Amino acid sequence: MFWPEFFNIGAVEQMRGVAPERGGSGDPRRSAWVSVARRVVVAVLLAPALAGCGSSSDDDLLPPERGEWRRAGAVTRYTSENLYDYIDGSAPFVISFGFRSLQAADYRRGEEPVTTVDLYDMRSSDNAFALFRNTANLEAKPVEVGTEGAGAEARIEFWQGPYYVVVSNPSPEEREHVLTLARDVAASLPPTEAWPAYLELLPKAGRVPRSEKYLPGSFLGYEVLKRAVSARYKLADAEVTLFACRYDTPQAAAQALDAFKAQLEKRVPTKPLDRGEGGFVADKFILGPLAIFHRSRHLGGIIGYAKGTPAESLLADLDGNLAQR
Amino acid sequence: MMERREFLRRAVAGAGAAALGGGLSGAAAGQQAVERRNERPGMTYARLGRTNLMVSRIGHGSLYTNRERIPLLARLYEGGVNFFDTSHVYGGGRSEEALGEFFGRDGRRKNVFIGTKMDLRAQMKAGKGVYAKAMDRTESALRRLKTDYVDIMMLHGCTTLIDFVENAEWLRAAEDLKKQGKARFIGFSEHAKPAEVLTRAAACGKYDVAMVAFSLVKGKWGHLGRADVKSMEPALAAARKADMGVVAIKTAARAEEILAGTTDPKIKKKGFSIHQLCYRYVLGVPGVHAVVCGMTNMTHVEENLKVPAIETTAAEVECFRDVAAASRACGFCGTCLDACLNGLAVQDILRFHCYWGNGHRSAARAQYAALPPNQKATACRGCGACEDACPMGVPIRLRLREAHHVLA
Repeated sequence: MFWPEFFNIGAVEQMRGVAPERGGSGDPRRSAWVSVARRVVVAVLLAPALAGCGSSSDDDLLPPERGEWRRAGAVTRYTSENLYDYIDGSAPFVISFGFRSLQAADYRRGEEPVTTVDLYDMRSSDNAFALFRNTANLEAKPVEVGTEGAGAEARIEFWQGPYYVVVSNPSPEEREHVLTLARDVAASLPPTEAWPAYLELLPKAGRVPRSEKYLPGSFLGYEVLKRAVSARYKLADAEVTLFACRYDTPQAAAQALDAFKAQLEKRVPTKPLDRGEGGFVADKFILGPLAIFHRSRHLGGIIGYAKGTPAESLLADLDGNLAQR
Repeated sequence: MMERREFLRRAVAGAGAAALGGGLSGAAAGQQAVERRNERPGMTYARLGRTNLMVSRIGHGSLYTNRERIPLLARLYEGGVNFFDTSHVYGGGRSEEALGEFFGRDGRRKNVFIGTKMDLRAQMKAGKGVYAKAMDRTESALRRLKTDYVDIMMLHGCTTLIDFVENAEWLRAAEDLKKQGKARFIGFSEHAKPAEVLTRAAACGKYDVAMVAFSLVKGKWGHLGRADVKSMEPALAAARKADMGVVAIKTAARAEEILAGTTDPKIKKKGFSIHQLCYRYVLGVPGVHAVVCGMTNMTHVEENLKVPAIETTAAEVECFRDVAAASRACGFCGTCLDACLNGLAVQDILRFHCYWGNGHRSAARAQYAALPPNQKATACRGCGACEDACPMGVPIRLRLREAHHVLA
């Protein structure tokens, strides 16, 4: 537990079941000193109990012993405030997916180098899925652990419930042991209740397995394309990318499409698309022919569009899905 | 793409020139054999120390780059950016994959300088496997980047122990990668202790390039803003003496706070954002050759492409730095948390506001929404105890109102 949290009197009083004091009258200077004094007293009285609470909570997920493994040292906890201390410049990337906290611990098995367990609490399974799909080792192979796992050498990554987890050891020979530990960790985590609902926006047929991704912002590098879920599809003659962006209101979606079109037309020409509202095609888009349209609170689109091909049918399927939302 | 044979020929020629010109100053030596790529009007370029690479003064940091954001790379390339930084850890390799996808086509690779970084901390901590992992990581990076060499291979973050920068196995691997033609130059990146690590690296003489995090104002929020320009000056001087290339990162990390913390008009320049000015002023610091900016959307790209052309004098740079340093920017020290009578999560709220200012808007709102109601800004009674306690003189009550306005 961090000291700032510990000294948060509201939190302390909540833990004791006492409502935090509101306002107060009289001299604020005096009140401040009284309050500080109270905090010191409360802190001193509760320190052992709170320290115990902190450890026990950490120990629930990263206990001192796990089968043949012994934890080496304490569990270290990071928040978005100090995540940089642990993962350097990658911190903003993780934070952008809704990161809440990270618990990290080293485990030792005999004389082998330590295996590190990193438990990222991402607040929701939607966020955990999104981070996993955007950050798990691109070349890792699927492994059966958690809701979805991947492994390369002795580095195993998975997500389950609101957690994204990395279990790693520098020695490739340790892989099987590391996988066992990863499965043990997964067994102690809350189960995933459901896969992200946003995946339902995309048609199922033809989807390339594990190609589904979610980006909270700036899809295709454009700020107006928000909350985008995308997936690749194998068609008879090509691979295309289908995507859908979600907005709070139909008006917001329409405005986003207009803004995107205005920005895009500075670089490439567009022509009308006979689908949805305000749809258009940009044949010269850098990633391939792009078609995009507006339907209710969503924008739907495809990269790799060609009229009269399976790509057009796929776009129609997406439109059908969006129309039902 | 430059063939490896051609690269090796240049490397041998370069080594010969360096031996002959040992007494020359870096600049004089640089004039002999600078290498230019993708130079276009509007962008300016600087010699990256003894590498003799003429890099665009704005480089692209590819932390957020993936296949879906390739349009950003296209626009940067068109705008004359020729320096692209990535790492295998960025998106689990998706950043390198995106760079490979774009630069591996239409002969673009030969027009840019690509730097990538490798994380070897686990191996260094374990004290084994460093060399093998360095070689392995290089092969997979080259495969994803669709190239047979990188211009700069860097050790990623020497944060945990400064000694990492002098790790013998890593340095042996780096030398071998150079000999094999897979890496032209060697560098390192550092967030937490940039001055110490840069000084050490300059003294060890093995590094051609340093990528170091520092900004105009010193703070305590993670690594961002931990080092300021002033504290970097001796290390930058050492790097200049060693003719190392220096690339600054995280230079606009505290831009919004600087702007919010002062009313001094000298902090502004008509027509330019505070982020643009932060980048520009760091570019004006002696010894800094380029700044790398993490760009996630076209707005960032268009803004940053204009940065090198912003006209400034040395006096303006000095003045901007002084005003920024005097601005009442929150250092996230947490003093306010102890002082608050109502148990508000003051420090967290200011931090979320900072995330919002730095563009992580949905994440900032989500984090603010997750706070209990009695810890949010609306629970503030306005007593001002936090402001009395704040060592930086931050107008906290105003900041809380501003934060709630944008985050709620």
